Amino acid sequence: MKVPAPPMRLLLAPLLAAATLVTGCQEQPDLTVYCSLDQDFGEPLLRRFEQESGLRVRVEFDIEANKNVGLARRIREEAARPRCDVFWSNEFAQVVSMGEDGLLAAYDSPAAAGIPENFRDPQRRWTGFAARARVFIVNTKLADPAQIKSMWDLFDPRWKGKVAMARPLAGTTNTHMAALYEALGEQEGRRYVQTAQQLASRGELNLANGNAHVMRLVREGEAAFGWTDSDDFNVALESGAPVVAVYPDAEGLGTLLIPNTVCILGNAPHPENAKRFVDWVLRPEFEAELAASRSAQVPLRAAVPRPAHVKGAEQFKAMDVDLGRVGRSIQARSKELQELFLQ
Amino acid sequence: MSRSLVASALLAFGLVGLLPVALMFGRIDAADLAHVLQPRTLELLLRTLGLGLASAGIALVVGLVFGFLVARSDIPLARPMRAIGVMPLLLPPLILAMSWSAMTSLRGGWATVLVLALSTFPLVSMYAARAFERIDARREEAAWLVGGLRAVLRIELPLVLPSALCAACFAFCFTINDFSVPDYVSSIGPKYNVYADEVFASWRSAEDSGRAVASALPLIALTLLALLPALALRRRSVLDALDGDFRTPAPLALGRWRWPAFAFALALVGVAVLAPLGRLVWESGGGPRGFSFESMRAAFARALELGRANLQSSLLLSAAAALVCVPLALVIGHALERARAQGLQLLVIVPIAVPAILFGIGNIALWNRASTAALYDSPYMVLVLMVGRFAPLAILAVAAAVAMVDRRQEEAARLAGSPPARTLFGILAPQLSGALMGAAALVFVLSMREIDAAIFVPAANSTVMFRLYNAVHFGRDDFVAALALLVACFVALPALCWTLLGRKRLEVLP
Amino acid sequence: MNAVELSGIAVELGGRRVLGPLDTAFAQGGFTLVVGPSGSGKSTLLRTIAGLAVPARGKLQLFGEQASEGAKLSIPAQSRRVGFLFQGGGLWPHLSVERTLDFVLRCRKLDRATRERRVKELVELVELKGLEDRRPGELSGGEAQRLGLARALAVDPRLLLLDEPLGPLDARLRHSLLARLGELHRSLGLTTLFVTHDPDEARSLADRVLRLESGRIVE
Repeated sequence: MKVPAPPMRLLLAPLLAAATLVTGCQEQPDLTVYCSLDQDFGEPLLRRFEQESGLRVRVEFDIEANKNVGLARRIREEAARPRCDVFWSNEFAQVVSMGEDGLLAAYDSPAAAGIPENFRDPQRRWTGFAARARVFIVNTKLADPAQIKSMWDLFDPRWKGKVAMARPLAGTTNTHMAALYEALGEQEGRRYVQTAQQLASRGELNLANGNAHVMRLVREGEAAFGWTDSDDFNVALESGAPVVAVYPDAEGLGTLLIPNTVCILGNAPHPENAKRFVDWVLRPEFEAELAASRSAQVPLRAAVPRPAHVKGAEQFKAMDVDLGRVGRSIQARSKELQELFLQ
Repeated sequence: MSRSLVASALLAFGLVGLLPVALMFGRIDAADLAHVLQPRTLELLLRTLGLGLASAGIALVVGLVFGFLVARSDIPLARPMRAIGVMPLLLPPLILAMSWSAMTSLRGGWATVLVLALSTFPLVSMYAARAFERIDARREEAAWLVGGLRAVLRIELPLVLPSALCAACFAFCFTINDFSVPDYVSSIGPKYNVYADEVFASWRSAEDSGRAVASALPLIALTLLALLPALALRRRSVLDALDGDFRTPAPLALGRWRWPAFAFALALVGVAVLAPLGRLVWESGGGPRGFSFESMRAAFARALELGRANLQSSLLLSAAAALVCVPLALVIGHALERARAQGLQLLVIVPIAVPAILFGIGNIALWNRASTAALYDSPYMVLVLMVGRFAPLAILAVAAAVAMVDRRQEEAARLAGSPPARTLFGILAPQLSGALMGAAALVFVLSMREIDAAIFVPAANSTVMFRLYNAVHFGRDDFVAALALLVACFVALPALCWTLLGRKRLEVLP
Repeated sequence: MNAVELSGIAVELGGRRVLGPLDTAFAQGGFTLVVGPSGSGKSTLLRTIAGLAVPARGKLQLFGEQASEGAKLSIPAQSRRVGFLFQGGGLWPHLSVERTLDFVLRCRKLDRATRERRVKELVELVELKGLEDRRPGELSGGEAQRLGLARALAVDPRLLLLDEPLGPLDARLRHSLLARLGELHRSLGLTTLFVTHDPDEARSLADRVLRLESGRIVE
């Protein structure tokens, strides 16, 4: 005689669920790295460090849509019980802000020798390396690159409706605009972003949702040129698209370099292992590797070898701007940009 | 009902679903509240309201008609179209937006409205279809005798409308909380900023997290304003328990409208499902750069190579979340329906009324402690987050099914001396198997799609949506398309096969 | 000692009084017909005695024991040993005849052998032999009602409450089931309350007729 299904079967379900995750139980890592690089790109690099060092490395990435919000916010939320040892950011503003808020530990890595001082925190709470340049990606079938010299050319009426930039609410575009306030002065910096917003509201400037999107628009001929990062430009170049990069204001303000930054969290669970990782990442050889990679990052040290298509920092005029001041001002600038562009 | 069982289930639900939210609200102070209502944010809120109303309105009309056609009319291929018509709900809206935007030149606000309407109309069609099917044949026959098809529709529309409006309210909630579609559509054309942008931007710029939490309050209020009528309409739309006296209505002959109706349904399925899936197939093979099967093969190979572990992880975690939600939904859903406590109903919907980002960060605040470090660092954390976030929908789905069970069955068991737990598991649960499986399927699908809250827990990196979103933004279209199709396969195929071939219907509606 | 005594019992639903105040008693072994128009409180009376409806006021005693006083249930429904045949059945659609009866007997914590024997007895008693594996949906109206009756008897009740048991049946089946009920009453001697809106129905079995109107006893 069959009996009704015993109630325990339903209660066993969650136990089964837990059992399915038994294989997910992890050994404790020797090092935890939060990395805002592209996962496809960053993952092999970190696995290599794992092999070379013999350390068990747990690495966590962000999603591009979050533009660092995810990892940066998590680091702040986890401050009472830090889980992360090292934060490898692909930009600097959030890291500067963390340093100011006392979340970082100082470490003067010997591997950082040769990195220019303006890319290092004076108190050694963070160090910059392997930068991306903020460039104009130009579709040579739609525009003559020789006619695009200055960042203000973005607003030239002859390019009306054919230019693009990412919405400056997050990521490197946000940092770029914040840097302009510092480099141009408050008034001129504000004029730049206000002009961009006005043109965008009239449909004369395409506000994309990211630099990769700007790259796609230009690559596919939907825009003549636009702001993007040099690594996104390289993706377009490798795809065989008719594009060149223009490093604007060679005679004037110069091109902004946004370095990767690496920092050790205060009260990191594994500070010594964190230092080993920082030393590994700051080696000139690693900068060379990043220059030769798909992301074509610009080495900050002149002596670092790089492929021909990757410009060195000495080959163009780099914008002279205090990264620390930019980082410290980012919150206020972001708020202003939010009010301007979120309408 | 068993008080101890209900108390235990509520405790578990409170821990994973309510406490993360409560911790976030605890950060708000008066100064934060003062910052919330400015003219600019009010304008964003009004625009969001307009978006939600327009999108839900279109979903209501389209879904109502489609639901009627596939559930009650004599159009050809009704059953497969009914199953396939659910697909837009199973795919991440961003993927649908990318496909549709590539196929049309519509941009800006109206593009956002239409994308979200097409994404959510299956909710309305599912509710409407179920309501149409539960109208006793005799009521229909009486109307037919009076005035033919027109009279039938006039009689039935008021009976079905509560269900359809309930679904439209849910569609409204999904629409106003969606960030990815307006963000994407805005990126390829004129800006259409919505309030979800404001919430996201606040988290980026606010040093004081209380202000960021406060920024979400208007959106939460708007969501609750839609959820509460949805729950009231849900209660009205639940018909009397179907007993042996119910006569299933026969398909309605549409006469000369049959082929135009079929064309409409087919066009809708084509636009909403076949076209985006077809576009994904095309893009996986190279798309605008020239389609080839070799490219498609390479894209799928790469998607499997890079995404296999992520896919496995997502499938395991989502399945586990679904399994865990089943007993929770049974106990709390039963209590919700039988106790009819308004307060309980409000509590149950809290996790789905708050923005994902707030829920995600609340989980960090709750679980990142020395005492719970082992959990926080483990894959179980994703499971905890999924259960907390999606259990409400499972609970509501089961509650709706409990309402259809004759209360006298429980009374008879009680008189027989059956303890409440035995009655629940031995008498009710077997009859609710369709609803329990449906609730599990719902949680599974939503967990597979989840990214916005999950990103804030450590193990989120292991999920397939994480891999997919990163690939979208780094421009790997063929890889994205292939991976999206794999996700769609794993998410949709089992449910589709069950719906087409299974004998018992899944009751998935909350 | 009476089987049931009601003193000042009043029941309210949604703020509206639907029954009482009632003062009456039902003798042990008696067969009482409870009649009245729809909405007169007949079913509510049965549900109150069974413990399924909670009185607002009054006292209820079952076989000399206090079962409820006001809204306080001293003896919960599952402990009153009341056999209840619901109007419309309330059968468990997923359980066969055999499993329905076994479920009830398991709740009484009987051992397997006893349960098997008892199921056989009940099946024979209500003439459902040969239909043990059928579910309610596979039974005719009369068979389903007999299953409901068997389920009520499986509790080993002291009191049998029948809420319009002949409602869904045709004339021939009503006559047959009524005869069956009469035989059971004579053989088991159970105190029985039989609710109907038809005063002529079962009159031959009843030794008392209680008429309700608007929740009050009128006869």
